[in-house]
Order: sequence, then C-alpha cells, then structure tokens
Amino acid sequence: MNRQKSLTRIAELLGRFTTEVGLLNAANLYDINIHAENVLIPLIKLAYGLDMVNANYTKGKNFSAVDLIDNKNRVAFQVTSTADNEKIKHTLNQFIKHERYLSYDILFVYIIGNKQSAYTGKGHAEIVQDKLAFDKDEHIIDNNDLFKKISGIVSLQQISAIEQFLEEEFSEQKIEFRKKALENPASVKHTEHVYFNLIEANIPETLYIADIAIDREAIIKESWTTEYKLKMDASPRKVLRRAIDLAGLTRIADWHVTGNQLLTFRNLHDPAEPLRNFIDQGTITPLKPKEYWTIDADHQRSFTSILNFSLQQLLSHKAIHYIGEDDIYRYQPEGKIVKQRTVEWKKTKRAKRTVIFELFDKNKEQIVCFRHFSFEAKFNLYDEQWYLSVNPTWSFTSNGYKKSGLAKYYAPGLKRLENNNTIYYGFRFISYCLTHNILSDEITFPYLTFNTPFFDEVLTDTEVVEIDENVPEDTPLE
Amino acid sequence: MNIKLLSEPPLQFGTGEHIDPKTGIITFNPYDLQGVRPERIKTGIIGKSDSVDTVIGWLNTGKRIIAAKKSTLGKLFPEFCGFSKTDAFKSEIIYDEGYIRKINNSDFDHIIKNEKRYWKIIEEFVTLYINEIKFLAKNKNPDVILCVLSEKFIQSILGAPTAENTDAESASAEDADEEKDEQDEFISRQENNFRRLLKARAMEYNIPIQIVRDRIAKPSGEMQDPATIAWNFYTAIYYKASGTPWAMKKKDSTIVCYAGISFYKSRDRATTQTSITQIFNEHGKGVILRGQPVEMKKGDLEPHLTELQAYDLLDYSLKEYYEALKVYPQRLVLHKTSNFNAAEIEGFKSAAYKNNIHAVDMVTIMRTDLRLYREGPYPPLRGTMASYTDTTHLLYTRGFVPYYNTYPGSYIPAPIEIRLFSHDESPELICEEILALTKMNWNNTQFDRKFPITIECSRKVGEILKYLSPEQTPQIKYSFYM
Repeated sequence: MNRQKSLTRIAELLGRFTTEVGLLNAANLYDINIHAENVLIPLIKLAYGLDMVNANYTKGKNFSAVDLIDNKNRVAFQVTSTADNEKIKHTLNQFIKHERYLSYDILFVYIIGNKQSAYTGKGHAEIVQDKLAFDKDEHIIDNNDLFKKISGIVSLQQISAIEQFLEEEFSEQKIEFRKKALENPASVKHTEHVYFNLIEANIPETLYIADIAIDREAIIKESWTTEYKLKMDASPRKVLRRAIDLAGLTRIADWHVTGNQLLTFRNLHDPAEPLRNFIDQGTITPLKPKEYWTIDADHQRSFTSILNFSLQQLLSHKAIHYIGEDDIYRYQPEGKIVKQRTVEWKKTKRAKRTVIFELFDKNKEQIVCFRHFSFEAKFNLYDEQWYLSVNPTWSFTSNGYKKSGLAKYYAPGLKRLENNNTIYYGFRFISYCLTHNILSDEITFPYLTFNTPFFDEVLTDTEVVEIDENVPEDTPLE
Repeated sequence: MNIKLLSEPPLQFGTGEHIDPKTGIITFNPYDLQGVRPERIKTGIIGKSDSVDTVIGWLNTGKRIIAAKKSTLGKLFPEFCGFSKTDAFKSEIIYDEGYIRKINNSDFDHIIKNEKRYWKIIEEFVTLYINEIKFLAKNKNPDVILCVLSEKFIQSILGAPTAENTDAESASAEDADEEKDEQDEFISRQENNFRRLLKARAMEYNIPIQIVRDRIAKPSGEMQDPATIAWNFYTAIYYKASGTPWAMKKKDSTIVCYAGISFYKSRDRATTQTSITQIFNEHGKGVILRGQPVEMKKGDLEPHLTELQAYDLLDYSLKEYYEALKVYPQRLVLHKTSNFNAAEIEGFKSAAYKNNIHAVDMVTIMRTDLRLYREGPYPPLRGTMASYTDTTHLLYTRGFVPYYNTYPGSYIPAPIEIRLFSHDESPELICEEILALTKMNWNNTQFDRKFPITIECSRKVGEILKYLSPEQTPQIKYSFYM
C-alpha cells in the first residue's frame, strides 16, 4: 500500500520535472548544468546505482556528446530536451567522432520532457557501426522510462528515498529558485553571515608625551641592593619600571618609552598621577593620537606599543596576563591558589566557561599541569580606526605560571579537535571579557575600551552553492 | 569593509576544463595532449636493491586503476585512473635493467660504521646517490630519476619519525600552512637536509629527480590513501618529464606572467639574504633566477632591494623569460612575501616599462592574524575575499570547499593577507588569479593549497639554493626544486 502511494507520488513529482523543463524551454532558459548537479546525478544514482559526474561541471565549453559520465562503470548520459531523431543522430555522431566509445560502453540519451512515441532508428547503425551497442528502445529514455525503472525496484526503502529526494527537489521553493537562477544568475545569492575577529577599540582623545627625568645610573645601582638586579645596559623601560617599584608605587604597564620620551594616555597634568614623578613636568605635551601615529611608520609602531601596554594593563585587572615569551594573553588564577577558574558570561543566556582546567594523571590522583584558555591579540589600523584582532588558543603551565613541557603533547591534539564554532565562541567569549567586568572586585580601566563586536557582514555569492553542513563520518577533523 | 565569494577557478586540460585536477585529467586528459609531451617517460631508478624492487612493483600496480579510499567524500578521494598510454594521462613510464642502479647495503653500512659526524653521514649518503645519478645521466639520459629511500634508512639512520614529507607524499603536512607550525618538531630536519642537498647536488646533471620512499607501496595509517599517493606521484612525474598536466584558464588573450620574489638566508643564517625570482606563464612554464645578496641592516624587519637591484633583477628575469619562451608578456604580476618600498616599486616599474610591459601589479602576500568566522562547524568557504580597505584584502585559500563538500584540513585554516602596493587591475581580479595560482602545484592534486605557486615555489627554491655554492648555476626550471 505504501509502495503504491510512494510510486504515485514519484510519478507526480517526475511530472513536475517534465513541466519545469518544458516551461524553461519555452522561455529559452533551459540549461543542463542547473539540473545536472542537483537533480540528475542523485536521481540516476538512486534509480540506476550509477555514480555519474557532470562532464560540463565548469562554465564554458560543453564536453561534446556526453553530459554525465561514470568512468568506473563506463556509462555516459547525454541529456537533452530535444526529442527528435536528428538530435539522437547528432549525439551519436559526436560520440563516435570524439571516440567516446573508448571510454564508455553504454550511452543513454536522456530526454528531459517526453520522448517521441516511437523512433525508427534510421541512420543509427550507420553512425555507430560496431563501435557502440546502441538500442533505440533501451537507450533513449525519458521520465516515463525512469519511472518504469523505479517501479521495478524491489526495495521499499529505496523507493522511499527516491520519493523523499524528489519531494525536496521539486518543492515549489526549489523550482522557483532554479527559475530565478536561470533568469538572472546574479540575483540568486547564497548568503550567510560571517564575522571578523576584530574588536573596535576606543582610544582616549589625548596622548601625553613628556621627557623622562630619572637618574638612570642611580636606579640601576640601587637595584643591586634588591633581589632583581638590573644590568648597566638594561632597556629604558626596565629602568623606569624599576624606578616605579623603588618609589614604592603600584606597578602599571600602560606607558611606553621611546628615545627619552614617555608616552601614555594617563593625564600627566593631573597632580595625582604617579607617572609625574618620573618626568620633566615642563615638557608635558598633549597631542591628538592621530597627530602622533600619522607622522611616520616609526611613530605608528610606538603608538601600537602604547596600545599594547594599555591592553596589558586593562587585562591585568581581569586576571588575564600577558605572557611575553609566547606573545599571548593567558587567563590566570583569580587568587593565590591555583585551581580551576570559571568566568560567567552571556551568549544568548548566561553561561559559565571554564578558563583554567586541572589536568590529572592517568590514575586521576595528581595534577600534571593546568590548561589555560588564552589568546593572541594584535592592533590593526583600518581607515583611521584601531581594531584588535583576537585569536583564541591554549597555554599549559605546571603551576599556574610556569610553562609546562607537556604543552607539546596536549596542544596539537586539542587544536585538531577545534572547529569553526569552537573558535568563534571562544572569540565571542573573549570579546565579552574585554567589554564587561568579569571579576567581582574589578577596577574599570578608563584609558582603553572596546565596543561590543560584530560587524554583521553578509557574504554574498552570485553562484548557487548548496552546502551540506552535516559532517560526514570520515571528514577530517577541523 | 566588503566581503564576497570568488568562484573556484577552472583549469584547462587537453579537451576541456574543470575545477578539479583529478576529474580534469580523467575526463579531459593532460593539457598538452595535442602537443609535444612525455608519452614515454624514460625513468632511472636508484636505491637499495630490495627498496628498488618494492618501488618497481608499485610502479606496475600504478599502470592500472587503484581503488578509491572508502569514504563518503568521493570527490576528495577518487580512484586513480592508472598511468598508461591508454588511460587518462596517455603516457607511460619506461625503463629497462640499464636504468636501474642498485646501491649495496654494505655501502650504507660502511658510512655509518666509519663516520660519526651527522652532517658528514648525510653528505656521504648523498654522494652514493649522486654517483649513480651521474652514471645514468652520462649513459642513459633518462627524463626523470627516482631516488628510492628505504624505510629502514629513514627510521634507523636519519632517525626520522613518521611525518609525511617525501616528494611522493607531498600532501597536507609538508608546507601546507599553519599545520606546519604544529608539526615542525615532528618533521625530520635530517631528512630535509638530505633531500635538499641531494636535489642541489643533482642539479648539474640536468635531470629532475623524484625522491620516493619504498613505504609508498604499503602506506601506513597516517599516510595518504594509495590512490591519492598515486595521483600526486604520477602528476609530479609527468610534470618533471616536461609535461603540462593542466594550465590556468586564460580570461582573455593578454599575455600575462606571474613572478614571485623572495629572499632566503644562507645556511649560516648570516645577515645577508639572497633574492630569487620566478616567472611563470599560465602553463606554469618559466624561469627561476638567483639575484643579488641583500644586506640586512640592524633593526631591519624585512629585506628590501635597492632601486638598482630591483631593476636589474626584473630586467634580467624578463630577458631570461623571453629566451625560454620567446614571448614578451603584456602584463606582469609581482608577488612578494614582504612589503614593497618606494625604491623597489620604482626599480620594478622601470624594468617593466623598459621591456614594454605597461600593466604591472605589485602584490604582497603574507600571513595574517585576521580571521573570519561563520555559524556552524565549518570554516569560511575557500574563495572568501574580505576587503578591509582598497589595498588590504583577506583571502581564504583554504576553507570549506563546496566541490569536496568538506573542509579538507586538520586545523582551523588561516587566510592570507593581500596588500596591493601598485595595481592596474582590480583587487578582485588579482585575488582571483591568486586563487587560481594556488592550483598550479603539480606536486599535489588536491587543489586547495594555501599559497599561490609563485610564493610556494619561492620557499622551495630558497631551501634548495641554500645548498648550492655561489659559483654553481641554478637550474631555471621549477621541476628541479619540487
């Protein structure tokens, strides 16, 4: 009963196919390629068990005499909407002329639409000689023949699969889609949203520059009385940092030294600003940031440095530290005890994400290392706007701080398991952390802020691209 | 910012065009079908006796169809068509006993026993092969020479792990992209040294060599499937024997050539870098030339040519290109892995104008931190082009490939950044060409390479030229480097 019902429906749907082609033909719009990939190849596979490919896959020239080919079974199909004997003869002529018989033993001429009620076969034998066994009754087929073939299928499952396939392919929506694609290929767009890994940065309106005024040699020598001793040729940044330490002030990162000048977004005119202790206050110069970075490439590099140091300061308030040796930012423990850390954030609903994992040995008795969520971050300037590009990654430590030698065993496997979604949500999570307070006692850093991303960009495509997003079993892991 | 999807560029084959090299060859035969081409490839074979026998056995298997990998991704892993005069390639490998040169086990053993210095061992192994290459070149003049490495040799002597990096398995891992960073430590430096030294020293005998491991006859789980190995091997052999498996499809009748300019450090990692240039036409035919050393000053982030050096390098290259192909290009596209400075732009433009080329595009192609994300498990589609500004573009050369219906990679793919320093053609066309040039690698029949051949070639050529002394003349054909 089910079988008969399915076959009736298949006949109706094949009728739609014939009608569609008829209408397109009448409008001079028919193009084999639009049906080959989506309709014919799967249909022939389901009905005949043949693995056809479209010989005209690419735009441009037709592969003469045949449209669809199965090299393994040596079968070729010529698909046409012209049913007359002249067309059959022309196909056979081309087939012989181009020696297709060397590659294919069987040629089907598949008339999309209705074939003639009968063919005389006149002229066929002369053309094919003994090079091809071509039987007009067997090898000229149309949708009625296809239906007969399907009716002969014993497996109900197979018949259901064909019905389901045709149901989908000859839905009104799909028929309309194909018509539009043929009428105006540019009008049919495959669209989807794609997101940049960029977060728009808001930088303060003023950049302060001042000459540094410290006794370099005295600071270096004073450092020798402490645990961390500076060398005589220590970098200007190291010396100034030590001067801040020695003055008993809280260490801050958001300043940059170039030549003998200090650069910062902090207001150096503010009497409460600790950095004033280390500069010649008479030299303080406020500037519009753009005036500075547009001077030349060197100034742009210095400006990028001040952005990087400001980012380090911003993230340190969130217990995310810059790890210089790997050039990454790493989620650190919130307190002194190193343990699993989670951060509450919001995707569509409130969610918790673990950013530090404890990795145990085989017996689950001892922690062998910690896996920290981390990211790379770089500033980029496009059309006078600064953006931060963010790429999630992982970092492994033995005690929450020291790099673990086990990283090389864990990292590649972990990265292989990640797919687009994993990274995309990692990026969204980091964006959230950059634009929201994530610690209960977090101090808001005022000198660098970010806008909540997403530039909703739409990817457009003038071609029809059907993508099966289901991951086949043996798809390589992303 | 603007985003669009570039369509997969078609390739030209003997009797038709297709986007996929494998289907293209099966359906339409190699590009040079109607022309002078390697119908019978005289092949020399060198190696240990048992390894040579194994590879000869494998060559016989490759004359017929090799079954496809069991997979739902049929287009990614199709069967191999068989390499014979009647099958798709319409070509065959021929040799007789005189072309087979066997190296005794005792010769290898003797070196290991008497030499403890690692580098010396490599050199002496190379010499064993070179002696036989010299003999074959003098007495038999084959089109290609297969240098067979036994698995035992690789494992126990060079200590190489199982990473895939022989010519015949050139697939994904070797230099594809970001994967390399992850796998660097697994790739045997020793074996690379051996391969590069062998290729450099073999150059003077004027016969391209193909290094092949005997394990291709019995690929292990982590290797490619037998049909894919055969596809890559035979396509490379056909190209090395001067064949043209496929070509870029020309958009119009303009004669365009594509040049890659890069720098390589000498093996002592001195501050001097040497420039090289490769010029290709759409068939992948062209020349490779070594330029002048470039002094890197302290603080320089990337090497740059002086105006005169830029002028000389391009002028000389265009002359050699004319000598090789007897045609002057009308448009020139320069690809470089570093930024162009004003002096270089001036020098290159002057050389181009002097050679009557008035359309020049100067394009930097580099790695980037920029990414795009989609919804769902798959990365952006190959061909996705994002324009940040008029001159800065992002291009996904690796990514989800609709034709394969998957993303055929192991890690999240990274796009490449395209910077236009001077251009006469539209950014879209320049990116379309870059996409097409990623398919012009005859070492690999999977078409989604990360870098265009101009850049990929630079890297390979540089790696081998390091082993060539300054007074040796490098070969001008890419087949000696791949």
